[in-house]
Formats: sequence, C-alpha cells, structure tokens
Amino acid sequence: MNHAGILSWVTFVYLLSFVFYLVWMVRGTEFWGLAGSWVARIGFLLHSAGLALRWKASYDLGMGHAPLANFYESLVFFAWAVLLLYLIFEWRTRSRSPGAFVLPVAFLLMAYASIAPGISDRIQPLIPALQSNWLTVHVLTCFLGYAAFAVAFALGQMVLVRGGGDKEKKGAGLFRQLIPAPGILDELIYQSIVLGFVFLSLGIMTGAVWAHYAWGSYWSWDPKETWSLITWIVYAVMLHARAVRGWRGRRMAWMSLIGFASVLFTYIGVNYLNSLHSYF
Amino acid sequence: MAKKTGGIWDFLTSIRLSIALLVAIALAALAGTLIPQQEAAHEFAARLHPSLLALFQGLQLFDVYGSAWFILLLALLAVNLIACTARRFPAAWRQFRGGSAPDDPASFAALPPGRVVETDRPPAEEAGRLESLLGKRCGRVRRTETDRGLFVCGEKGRFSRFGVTIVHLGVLAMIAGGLAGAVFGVKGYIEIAEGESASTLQLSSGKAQRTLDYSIRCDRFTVEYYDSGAPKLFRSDLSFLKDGRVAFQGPLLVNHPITFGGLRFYQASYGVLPGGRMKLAYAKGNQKGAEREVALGDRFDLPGSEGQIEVLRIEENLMRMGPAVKLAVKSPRGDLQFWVFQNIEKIKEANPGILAQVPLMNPGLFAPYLFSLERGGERFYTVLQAGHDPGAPLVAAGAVLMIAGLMTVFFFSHRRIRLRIEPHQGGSLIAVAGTANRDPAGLDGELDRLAADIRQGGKSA
Repeated sequence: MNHAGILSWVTFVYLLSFVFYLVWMVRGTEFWGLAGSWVARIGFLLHSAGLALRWKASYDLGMGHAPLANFYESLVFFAWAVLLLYLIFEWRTRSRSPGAFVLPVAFLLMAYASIAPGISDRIQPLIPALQSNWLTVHVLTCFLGYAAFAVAFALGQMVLVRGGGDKEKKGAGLFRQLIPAPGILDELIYQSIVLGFVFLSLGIMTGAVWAHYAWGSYWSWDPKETWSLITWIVYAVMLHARAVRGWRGRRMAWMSLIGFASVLFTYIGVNYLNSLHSYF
Repeated sequence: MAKKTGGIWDFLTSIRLSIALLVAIALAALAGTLIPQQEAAHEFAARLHPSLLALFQGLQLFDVYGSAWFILLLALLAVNLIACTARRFPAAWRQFRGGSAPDDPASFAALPPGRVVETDRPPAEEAGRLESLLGKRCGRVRRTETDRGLFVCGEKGRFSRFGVTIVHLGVLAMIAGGLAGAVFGVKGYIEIAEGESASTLQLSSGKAQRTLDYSIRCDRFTVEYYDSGAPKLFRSDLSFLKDGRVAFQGPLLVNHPITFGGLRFYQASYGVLPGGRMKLAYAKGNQKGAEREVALGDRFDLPGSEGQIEVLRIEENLMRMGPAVKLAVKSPRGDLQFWVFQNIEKIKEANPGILAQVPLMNPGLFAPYLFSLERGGERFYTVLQAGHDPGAPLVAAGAVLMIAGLMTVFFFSHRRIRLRIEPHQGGSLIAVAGTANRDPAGLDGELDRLAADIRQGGKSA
C-alpha cells in the first residue's frame, strides 16, 4: 500500500481508538481502555510508516524533501505530533482517560487533511521560497508546539467536563470519575503549555532566521507572523498568571481553550487574510 | 525593600500592568491583521466614510505597527520588564547566594516514612558515605555539625533562580534590537533590466533614494517552472561594479542573498520588458552563421580563433535608430569597433551610402563576417531588495537568551537536599529532606531515589 492509502486508513484507526476510549470511559470495562490504547499505538506506527514512505516517495520522484512542505503534509504531521505527545503522556502518567479527548483532535486533523477545500495530497516540488534548510526545522518546531497546545486543549476540556474539587464527587458518573483529579490535570496542562511555549518560541525564531534570508527581514508583520505572536502572548499571559497570580484549575482550562483557538486561527484562519505564508 | 515609594513603583512592577500591556499589544497586533496596512490600505480607505477615514488616520490604524501608540506600548512593556527585573533580582540573588541554615528544623518536620532510613554504621562513618552519595547528585556538598546533630547538605540548579531574569533580558534585547533596526536600518529596492546596471536604491520609507558608490548589473535573469506550472527557480546573475571593474559576480537566488558593500541583496521580484532579448547573429561569407544572446560585457571567440568579440554597449534606441549594440573585435588583423543595428536595412534605405561614410555603423566591417541584431525571447528585469539592519544581531542575541532562559525556567529547578544523621541503636538514623523552587514532583522522585540509595548501602555486609 502506498503512503496515501496508509494515511487515509490512519484516520479511521484514530476514530476507532477514540470510540474504544469512549466506551471504556462510559462502561468502565478495562478491556476497552486497553483496546483504545493499543489501537492508538498501532495507528501511530502506521502514521509514522506513512510519513516515512511519503518522505521516501519524494526522493523517488527526485524532489527529496521532508513531508512538511504543504498544507496537507502539515496537517498530517500535526496529527502525528499530537499522537506522539499523547502516547508519551499516557506512558508516563499511566492515565489513559485523556485519550478520549485527544484522539478526536487527531482524528479531526487527519479527516480535515482529506476533505479540506482546495487541499492537495500530492507530493509537490518546492517553490523557490521554500527551497531552504530552514523549512524543515521551522515547520517541525511550530507543529510540535501546536501539538502540545492541542494536548493542553484536550486536557482543558477534561477539567471543564469533570468540574468539582479534588475530592471524588458522590453520584458523579463513571465518565467523570475516570478523569484524573484536577491537581493532576492542572500539572499536565502546565507541562503541555510549557512544552508548547518553548517549541512555539523556537518556531517563531527559526521562522525569523529563515525570513531574514528569504525575505530580507526577520519580521515583517505578515498576518501569520503576527498571529503567532498573538498566540505566544496568550500563552505567555497564561504562564505569568499561573506563576505570579496562582491561577489553577478552571482558569487554566479556559486559557488552554482560548490559546488553542488562537493556534487554530494562526494555522488556518490567517489563510483568509492576505499572507506570505499561503503555502501552509 | 523600601515600601514608602508605593504608588508608581508598585504600578510599574506589577504583573497586572505586564498582563494588561501584553493583552493590549496582542489586540493591536490583531487589529493590524484585520485592517489593511500601508500600501494595501488605499482601496479600503477609499470605501470609508470621510469622518471614519479621518478617525482611522488619526489613530494611525493604517500603520498600526509603526504608529506612535504601538511603539509606546512596546516602550511601556520594556519599562515594566526592567522594573520587574530590578525589583525581583535582589531576591533571586539572595536565593542564589545562600539559603536557610542546614539544620533548619522546619525542613525535617513531617517527613514521609520512606524518607527516614535506619542504617548499621555509626554517624561518623555514614557522613563520609553520604557526602560522596550526595556529591553524585549535587555539585556542592557541605558537612555541618550543630547542636541539633550532624548534617550533610547539597544543592544544585542554583542558576535556575536567574531563568526569569534571563528570559526578560532576552525580550528587552529583542525590543531594543527591533527599535534600532527601525531607526537605523536601511531597506529599499532596485530594479535592473537585463543587460543594464543601476546604482540607486529606492528606499521603502517615503520617496527618498540612496545612491550607491558602486553599480549592479543584471547580466541575466532566469525563471524556470515545474511541469505543474509552479515556479522552480528565480535567479539573477549579477555583477557588482566598482570603479568600472567587476568586484563581485554571482547568482542571486531566493533564500540565498548576496552581501556587498554593507548591504544584503535579496531576489524580490521580476518582470518582463517589452521588446525581448537582444540576439547577435553572425555569419562568415555564405557559411551558416551562429547566434547568441548578448549581455553587456560579454566576451566570446569567433570560430577558429579569428578574433574575440566584446560587447561594449547595448542601447535600446541609439540616436532614434532603434536597438543597437557596440562591439569591439580583437584579432590578429588588428582591433576594430563598430555598431550593429537591428534596423540596418531601413537605415540603409533612408540614408544611401551611409555605411561607406560612417564605417562605425557597418556591421560587416570585420570582413568577411557580417553581424546582425535580432530580438527574441523574453527580456526580463529583476527587482532586488536591499537592506541593512543593525538591530538584527541584537535581536538574535535576545532570542538565544530568551530560549536559554526558558529552558532554565522550565526544565531546571534549584534543589536543596538536606540529610540529618542521628545515632540510633549502634547505627544511624538518616532523615532525607529537601526543598525546590519548582517541580515538587521531580524533587519527591529525587529524594525517594536518594533514600533508596542510602538504604541500599546502609546495611553492613
């Protein structure tokens, strides 16, 4: 099977994993949780294989660039990075309930990659502006950052869905009981935001270095640049509010939602504004 | 710290001000992406009601990022950052220099059970072992004996106390570099037709120009396309001429700027000129001739080393007689110069006998060669962006500082680990305690591992 076939299968594998996680959250049967985890891992392996094959295919076509060069490839990599971070979190925290919130994000990204208007899943040669070694490192850092913010977004929803304090609420549904205590969620949100913030900073910087060589100016207030700054500021405010004013719990959850909305606008929304970044 | 100054100092150093400024900058930036800016604003401005237009212009909404109020916001943020850093630095310095006493009883209060370890060796013996054990985790280890007992203390990650300061210094450096670039930077454009040269920079701010003390010749512009129609290559072959001599020659590509004479040149744009490229054709007698595109300064040999041709001048319209090139021929038979006109037939018709009168206009002067000039192929002009930004190194340094600072803040913590050794039934009772400025979970893990290490080596063989 070729890369395009594998990647479209991955979309449905993630949907299946999401359904299994959801069944587990509702029914509480351990089997479904395990099934969700394993299907997610298999999906991730397939996804990685699909990316690797696509990379190889680009060399076979004589173009030889990493699969990070257009909107389709960026969506696929975005979803891959979300899964990577989630699986690391699941492994480190031994908690799989975030799966029910993260997997739909990955599924939607993959689904959008196949149905977005005007999107092309063909491997395209690089236009002159993209013929730079900075392309790969810039896209890599930005989307690792976006992925960490996507994970924080999913965790933020969990905080809001769960509600309540640290103590187990009596009568709360099984679904809500399986969500980790707010203290743990808060720490996980913080860690995701920190990771995302460092990667976003690196992404903006590598972009600035690239722009310095390609456009003759490290910063030109292009809408995508500007929106990445806005996103950076949203998360900077969030980190300051937490460190200095002690924001926790629901406030951080809302901030992670606002932040991710800004990420999505930076990523997709600005394409409706006139931008130099129109290839992504 | 003196509290009496309250008011303004508290305001300047408050996190509320920082957050308010950051939010204001974000909103301004947002407005700048929604309202068309600078050149793009004309069409939008024309559709506005005059009073609204006056308001927009008054608020500098068509140039948000260059407006006085946006610069003011940035300046206020810089002041706020400096004030916050100045206010918090002394505390960070104190934390860096030292801390509470090693035998501080508070740190040993309410230790979880796993953190108190019984061992078989007496305290004096254990102290040495613990020092080396702790030494593996911490750079600085001290042994202290007080009336509360024997203590071994270590600390690590002290520098992380300065993480926030480093991040803020980085941001300040970037703001300063940005302002320096805006004030002292140069940015402009040069348009050069193929085969021609230019030495005037059209500055992007205002209508000013800047004359360079060298000129740039575009020898050739090349654009290539992929089969899909997407562009593959934009390339200008440039010669930088100083005092009439080529000082540097090379291709300019997107993503590969050329630095010359203190300016950096970028491939910015291109266009097609009317008329097409000049093609010089030449034939010897009745033999089949050759044809080549010519650019100013080109040199080429005629077949059989009969002579070398140099293109001295290229004119679009010489003396209103149309396109012409001036050639110099160097040959064993002597050196010659003459013009080759594209419209030579018409010129001959209009001025019978002119070739005999003015040999300089005779394209067959270097007999038996006959030269002619044709147009063909697209002739391009290239647009170079040129600039110099003295603030860029400062911005880069600020960015590196900021990343280093962020790493320090987020991935390191200042941990103090304290071990108390008390005599206990012929052996020792060792209490493991610690404090950290962040990441309590990480500290707990480290203390647990340390306690396990102590327990493991604490049993006499």
